[in-house]
Amino acid sequence: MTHTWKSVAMACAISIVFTAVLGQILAPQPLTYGADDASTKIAQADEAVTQAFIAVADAQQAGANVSTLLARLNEANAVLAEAHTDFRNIDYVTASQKADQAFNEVQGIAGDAESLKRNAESDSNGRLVWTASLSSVGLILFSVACLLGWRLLKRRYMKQALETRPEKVDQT
Amino acid sequence: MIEMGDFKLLYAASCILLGLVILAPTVALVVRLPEGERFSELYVLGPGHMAEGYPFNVSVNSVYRVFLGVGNHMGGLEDYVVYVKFRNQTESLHGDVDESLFEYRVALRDSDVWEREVSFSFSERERALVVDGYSVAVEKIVAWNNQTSGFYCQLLFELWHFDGVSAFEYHNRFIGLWLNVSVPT
Repeated sequence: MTHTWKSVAMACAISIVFTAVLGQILAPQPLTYGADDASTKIAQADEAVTQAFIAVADAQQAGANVSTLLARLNEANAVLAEAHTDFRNIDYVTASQKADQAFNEVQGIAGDAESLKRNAESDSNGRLVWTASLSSVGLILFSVACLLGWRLLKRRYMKQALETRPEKVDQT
Repeated sequence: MIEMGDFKLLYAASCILLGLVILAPTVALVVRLPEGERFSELYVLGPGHMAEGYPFNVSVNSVYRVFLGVGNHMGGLEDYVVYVKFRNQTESLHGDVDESLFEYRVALRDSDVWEREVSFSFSERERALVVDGYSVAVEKIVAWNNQTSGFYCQLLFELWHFDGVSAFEYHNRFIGLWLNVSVPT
């Protein structure tokens, strides 16, 4: 009987210890961001937003429509501004979270911008070749038309000049 | 009757002119014409969305509203930061970024204008300036101004823009709203 109670007590003790250890492992850890952590995260977000901006600016300069990317970039910009303000207010936890959010929001923008840039450059080159070809053909046709027109006009001019020339009167 | 030489010249000139018109679309794709003056605009409007009625006599726990706007006329995409600062009469006008209390960031295309309503108030309980709901502790010593008989502070909006390489630089534009903080509550 005593042996049974001992076993039960032992089992309970083991269960309690096991539950406590498991609870410690699985319990959500409190967020403890310091100034250095927050500063690092903000610097990373700053860098990511800057790179995204440069990529979008390049794409726009190449003639791409960057409206969607710009909207995404500005959402990240707004969150990043809040992160900076939270950091100045010594709210490092919120600053770190917002920096992470801004960092995540700009992920993929640089890649999308690069793709848009390539498409825009390809379109631009195609447009240039097409326009130059049309202009060249137009110019050749126009030159031929000018030469033919000149011949026609010259002939009419000469004919008119001959008609208006005073006739020689025979005196004999 | 027109001389043959003159006629030939007139015809050749007309042909060249029309030839240039045909070439114009291609030339337009290659040649970049000089653009106009490049600049950015920073403006603050009063609560009625006009350049009047700006908050001046302020007291604690009252909310004041202005409209802050940035316009891009730089010929391309620009990334801007507007720093909101709070200074007394003796502090330097353009100090460090660290002196800013609040900031707005926006990327704008050429000819785009960004505008938003900015609210601010002074919280007596928190001894803070509240900008757009963000409470920012402000520790300022404001001296009595004998000339105008009052205590004055300035809410400053500074425009910075991305230098195109790695950092933001001051864009030589700021707007300051003088606030008379000596009004009894």
